[in-house]
Amino acid sequence: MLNNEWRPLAPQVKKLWLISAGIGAAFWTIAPLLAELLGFRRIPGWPTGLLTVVMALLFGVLPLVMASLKHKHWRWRLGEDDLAVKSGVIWRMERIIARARIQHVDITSGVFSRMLGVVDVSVYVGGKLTAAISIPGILPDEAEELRRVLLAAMEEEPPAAPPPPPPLPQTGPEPPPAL
Amino acid sequence: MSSPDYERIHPLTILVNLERAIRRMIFVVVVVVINMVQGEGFDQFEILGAALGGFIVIDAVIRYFTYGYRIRGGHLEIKQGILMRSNRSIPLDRIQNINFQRSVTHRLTGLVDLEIETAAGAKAEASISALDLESAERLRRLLVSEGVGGPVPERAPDEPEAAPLYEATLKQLALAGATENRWPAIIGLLVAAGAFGSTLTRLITDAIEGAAGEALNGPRWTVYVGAIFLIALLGWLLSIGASIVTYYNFQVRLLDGRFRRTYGLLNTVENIVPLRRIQLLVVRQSMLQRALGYCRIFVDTAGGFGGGKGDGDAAAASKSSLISPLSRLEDVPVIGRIALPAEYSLSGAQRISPRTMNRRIRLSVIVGVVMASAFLSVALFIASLADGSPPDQFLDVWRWPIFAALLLGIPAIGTWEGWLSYKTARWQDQDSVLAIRLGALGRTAWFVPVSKIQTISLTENPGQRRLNLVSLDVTTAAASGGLVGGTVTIPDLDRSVAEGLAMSLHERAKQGARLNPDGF
Repeated sequence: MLNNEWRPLAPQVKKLWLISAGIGAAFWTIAPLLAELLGFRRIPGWPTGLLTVVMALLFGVLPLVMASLKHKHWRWRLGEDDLAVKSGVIWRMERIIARARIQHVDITSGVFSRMLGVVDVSVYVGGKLTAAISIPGILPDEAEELRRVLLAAMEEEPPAAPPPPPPLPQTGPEPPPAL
Repeated sequence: MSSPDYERIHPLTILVNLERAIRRMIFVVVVVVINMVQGEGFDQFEILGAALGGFIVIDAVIRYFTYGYRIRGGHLEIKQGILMRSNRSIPLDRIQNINFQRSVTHRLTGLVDLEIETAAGAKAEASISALDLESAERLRRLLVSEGVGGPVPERAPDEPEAAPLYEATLKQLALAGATENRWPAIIGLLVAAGAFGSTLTRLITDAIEGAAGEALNGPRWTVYVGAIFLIALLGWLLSIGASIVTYYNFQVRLLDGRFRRTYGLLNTVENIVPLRRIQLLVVRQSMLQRALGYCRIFVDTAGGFGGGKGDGDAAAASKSSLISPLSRLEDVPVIGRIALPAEYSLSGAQRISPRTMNRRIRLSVIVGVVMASAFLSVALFIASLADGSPPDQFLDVWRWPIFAALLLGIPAIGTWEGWLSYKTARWQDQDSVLAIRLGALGRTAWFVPVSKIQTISLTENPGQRRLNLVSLDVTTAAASGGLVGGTVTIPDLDRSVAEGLAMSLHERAKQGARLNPDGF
């Protein structure tokens, strides 16, 4: 794990995301279809069925495609002294934190995640209520190992000497540097 | 009622609670009063007023009798409430700071509110309202543990206080109020004026007619314009007054490893904060301030402090804390040393990628096309109804001009704004400090000590990717900045520049993390 390689999420996660996108897709196909069959014509001038097709494409097919692509683009990496993730198909994000900053690590799983056998790992740094890094779906063993490694490093660190207090500024005349 | 071993708050707290409740419901109170004055005889308002008053008093009395605090087994315990009971327990060694807050009522009755802060969390962990000054001082000394917050140093009566790091003059406060962007407040004032429309316009037209005599036979709209101008002027004057009253005697002094901030005329605030909680320095300028060479200086701290009402709109939104309501730009390095480990400057700062203009222009063209088409669809739809109604007639004439204005105007504005933003955006990596300055009209500069950086992110949206642009975000332990909290962004860097900068910052930040994992 500590080999500094980019690792993917568990394959089950793709299934998980496809399922939830699929539920959305089903809803967004059936609901407009019903609406049209029952005679609500929202948009004047549109032939029957066009609305359903549009909705199904936008809110059904598209999320399904995105779900499978999203899985392909999710990667995480554990380094000697940092943890990094990168994700995103259209809006991409890459984030890195120093392992020394990690305060605690949560492992959680929702109902569907549990059924498919994956867990979410949330890593917290100091001073914040939300997780700095969230890895949405790796195998439980991997997660436990990751947590163990991340927290063990904290124990092994020799107690850091308290930083020297910052030099107090003078309030006397100071040559003002250009700003 | 209170258990015998819990300390009581002071009985006069009832008055404090009354004032606070009235202040919270000020809008309702004002409505009730105005209706009573107008004398239009709606009895339900007077009944409502009486009922509200009754509730406020009863609530204040209940609070007094059910509130208690004590120190037991290394914890501070606070209990309150009858229906909703709450019992909060704070380990003494987590308490970092106690802040004092006093409103007018507090000062008249000799009381003070204590706000208790711990290291984590974005606002005061708990507050005790209200105690008399002596008990409060005693409790503060008891609570603030050694080592971190340190006991509040006793000052010998004739020992001179250290010279303040910053002390606001009356002129500075007035100027601060005069140059701040108070548009939200002014618009609110106008809306409120509109709400009480009939009475207010009657009053104003009477006043104007009285002053101008018979000369007011002109069209009605001049009256309205005059009224709006007067209200805006009034708003501006109120803004100056509010600034003076809120920040009266604003002082920041350095104590031993901490700083102490005091201000306020009616509502007084006193904060004592360990210096190491400071995560970054923010310097903000409104358009007017920038033209005159002034600025406001904030610090963002871990755990936040002073989210008191006095910190102003910018601060309330972002939990930044004001350390100078108005300073000259040249004074920033001196005052800023409270936050930063070293000298810094923005001279020779680098620009972001010029392709940011491409991106913004493209975006504004897309927005222009979308808005113009949307408008056209609506306009054509209304035309298809062809019922000769006023919107229909208006659109008949203006349909195509408005369409053209949107289609051409939005990209034009976007281009101008993009160019302006590019021209003013600067960043500089100065080894121990990362500096970023953004803003086309107003301007904001962030100075982040690299050792305090917690996370570094590179983000790109589809528009950026096509142009090989990347935005760099850094976060610290600061609790400011809305949902995400304390994120500082350099937008639209060239990809290789961004990646290089991220790696370089990360190396230095890691060292900082090793020395000081918490960041505070």
